[in-house]
Amino acid sequence: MEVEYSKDAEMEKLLEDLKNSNVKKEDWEFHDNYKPVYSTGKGLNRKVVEEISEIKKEPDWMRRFRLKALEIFESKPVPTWGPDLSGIDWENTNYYNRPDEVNSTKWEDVPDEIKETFNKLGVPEMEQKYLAGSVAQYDSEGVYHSLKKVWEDKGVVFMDLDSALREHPDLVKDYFCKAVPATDNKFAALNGAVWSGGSFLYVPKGVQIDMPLQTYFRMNGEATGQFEHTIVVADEGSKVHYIEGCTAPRYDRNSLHSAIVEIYAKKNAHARYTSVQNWSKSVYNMPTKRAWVDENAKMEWVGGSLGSKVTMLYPSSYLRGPYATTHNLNVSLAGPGTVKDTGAKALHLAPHTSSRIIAKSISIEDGKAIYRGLLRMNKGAEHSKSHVQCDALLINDNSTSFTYPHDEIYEPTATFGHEATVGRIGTEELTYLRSRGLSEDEASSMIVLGFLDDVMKEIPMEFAVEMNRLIKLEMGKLGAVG
Amino acid sequence: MESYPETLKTRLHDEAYEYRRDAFLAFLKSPVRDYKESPTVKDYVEITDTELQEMLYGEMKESAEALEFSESANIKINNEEITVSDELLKQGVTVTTMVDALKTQPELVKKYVFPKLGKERIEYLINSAWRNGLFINIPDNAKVSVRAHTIASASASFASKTVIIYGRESKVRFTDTYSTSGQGKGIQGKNIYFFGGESSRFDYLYLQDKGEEVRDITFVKQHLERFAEFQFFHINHGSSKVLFVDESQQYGPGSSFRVYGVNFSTRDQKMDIRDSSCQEGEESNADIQVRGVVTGKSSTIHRGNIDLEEKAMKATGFYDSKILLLSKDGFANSKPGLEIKNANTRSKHGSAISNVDEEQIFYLRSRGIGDQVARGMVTAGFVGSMIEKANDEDFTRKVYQYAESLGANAFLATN
Repeated sequence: MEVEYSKDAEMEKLLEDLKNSNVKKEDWEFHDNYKPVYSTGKGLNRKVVEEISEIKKEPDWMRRFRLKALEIFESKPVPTWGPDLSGIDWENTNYYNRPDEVNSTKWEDVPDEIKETFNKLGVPEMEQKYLAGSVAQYDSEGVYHSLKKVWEDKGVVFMDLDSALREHPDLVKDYFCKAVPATDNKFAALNGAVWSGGSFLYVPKGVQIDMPLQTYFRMNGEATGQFEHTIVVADEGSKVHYIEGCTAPRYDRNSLHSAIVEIYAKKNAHARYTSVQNWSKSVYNMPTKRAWVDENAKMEWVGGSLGSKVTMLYPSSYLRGPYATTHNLNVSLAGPGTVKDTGAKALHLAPHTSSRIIAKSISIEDGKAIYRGLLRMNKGAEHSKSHVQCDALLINDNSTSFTYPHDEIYEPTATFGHEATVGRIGTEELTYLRSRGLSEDEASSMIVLGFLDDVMKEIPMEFAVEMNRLIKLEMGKLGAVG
Repeated sequence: MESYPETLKTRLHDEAYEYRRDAFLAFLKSPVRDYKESPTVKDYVEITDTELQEMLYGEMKESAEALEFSESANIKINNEEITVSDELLKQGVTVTTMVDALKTQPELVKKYVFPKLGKERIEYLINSAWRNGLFINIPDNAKVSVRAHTIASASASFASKTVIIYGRESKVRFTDTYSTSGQGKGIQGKNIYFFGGESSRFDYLYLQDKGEEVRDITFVKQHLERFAEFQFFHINHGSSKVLFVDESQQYGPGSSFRVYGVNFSTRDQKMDIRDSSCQEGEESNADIQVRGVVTGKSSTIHRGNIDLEEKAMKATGFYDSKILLLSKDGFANSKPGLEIKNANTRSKHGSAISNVDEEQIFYLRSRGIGDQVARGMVTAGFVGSMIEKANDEDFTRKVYQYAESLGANAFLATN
């Protein structure tokens, strides 16, 4: 059953939640003492990669792919055009931690400590209420996956990628690293070499799933890496909404998250990908997310980048067929001491394609929010249209914001527009709201929520509430705003 | 470049030797621009080291011929001989070559020239290798109108540096035209630096219309004191490659920087046009508007940046780029940036790229105007609103002429 809610009620609830929330960092940044049953130890080399492949009993093509990706990873330099990545401790990172031998379809089979962690995060509860299916990943491996029978009967496949590689090897091989090849960038190559876990979702032709499917990623260990690889295939005429949530405890030593997400929206399909990232401030978050969008298909990216120490994330849509559409909505919150280098890419490769990118960022204290995006209209993308909007809100005097859009138009019949604004909460707006009887806290909250409105209304309610709690947490006492 | 230090010690050994040497060292240390952010294009207007060497060792050959505009010019430069009109001399304006200024005005050179090495690789090199250029000093409270026209041989390669100092509460209007004579593939680099005194007002009308094969590199820097206003109209029309960099250095509180730029690219021209503000002054403002018309196989990239520094309380910055892409073989890019380091500021940018609006063409055609003329008119209207603000008949006429001809020709080429 689809959850119904009106926007007004939603906003009221969000506001109420924001005002009354007693949320503490520990709600997400706790860690349990569960010890992995297997670990490859510190560092990365050919032996580690072969070991991972052997443990997983993978087919030979995958082992060879991993080794090739390792070569590419080693040959590529660390990118220097973005934020400072010198804090990534390549030598001392643990690239593979196996939490347990079990990957079950029942929560009862999951080890108690891990289950307790997911309970605290509210994952089983959400699954029961709102989801068509769910995968839970703990460190390097999936520990739980389920899919409601009604969808299983219709041919939907939803499980962690390792299981899918065993159970549907040909299907996985058809899509694995097609949209994001290992040669794409250093972090994609790293993922190619040591990937573990992630989800595989296949929606057959004409199947329209009306409830979202979710994967929850939890990184528990210190100085570890999580390298999941997710593939979503929405076959012709299908419809799917896939959600990802991520958290990790905070440690003194930095962890690395380098995921790949590949989405294939076939002809007339409608795919929506929502992610709320709340990694702790010791995580470098460097995922590569890309969608191939075919004729008349629609791809929607909705994202909230809230946590992590440094995030570099630019979800891309390759509009390959005529009338393909992409929407990209993203909220970035650059809290104290963090850098959010986020944005979006849309490449128009066929006629009559359209894209809309809306990016909102909030910088708090010395947080640095950067928008970096690419919009390209290739020759032949006739009558294509695009609009890009990126807005930034600076909360404190020492907050900073940078905007670096790249717009490349090779097609004369295309229409393209871009706009960006940077500012802080105006005293006139605060005065207006206060003159209507609101306290300064309420007025500031309302302005921040209004600023994020475009994105919030596209996010499922449960996630929107979580995002607001996180924003509240980062901003401390909102009375300081303005 | 290996023999350049020797050249510095001999041919370029003058009062600016240390400055030239430091600028060259800065050039050597400065990395080659590499636009990794673009998956397809490394650089839009690539200036190779071979081209830079040509510029480095070349000599400026000015043409004796005088073309349009030169009749009205009140500063004329021919074979390093400068003629200044009586009207300017009466106001106390001094005009010398840069080489002469090193000897005749050492104090001013020390104050304004030597501390500014530049910010970018090629700018450093021009600051090291210049042989030509003007040193203009306009006193406080002066009200002058300057028209200069530099006509160089199209085959000449050279680096030049011009420094214009204008005092407190002065009001200056400067029409600066650059063209070439004859045929040739010269590579011509110039740095033009302005130093505006308190509450001064400067209107700068710049027109580059060089030969089809000339390569033009220009850096314009405005250093603005308290409440100094600078209004800049720039037109780039000629040359095969154009690298044009314009950046304000707004130290002064309340300083104001307005830019209206129009760039026309046709044939296989490549234009990289950068307009930026760097604002440190409180309540300073920058408003940059750039338009481009792209036809043939040409390419234009508009790059812009609004940089509001930490000290720039209550500053505002605005950058707007619009490009008309009129041909199937051309391409247009824009990279507007914002670097905001103070929260008590407001800034915005916008960019748009598209073809002529067919509804506008339809409207004009329904009034009995032919398709070709209608397209010329719409193109002229697109850029005209920018340049009419300059309030200069010659300048506006020239821009309309370029726009109408490009708009109409683009139609002919596609039909």
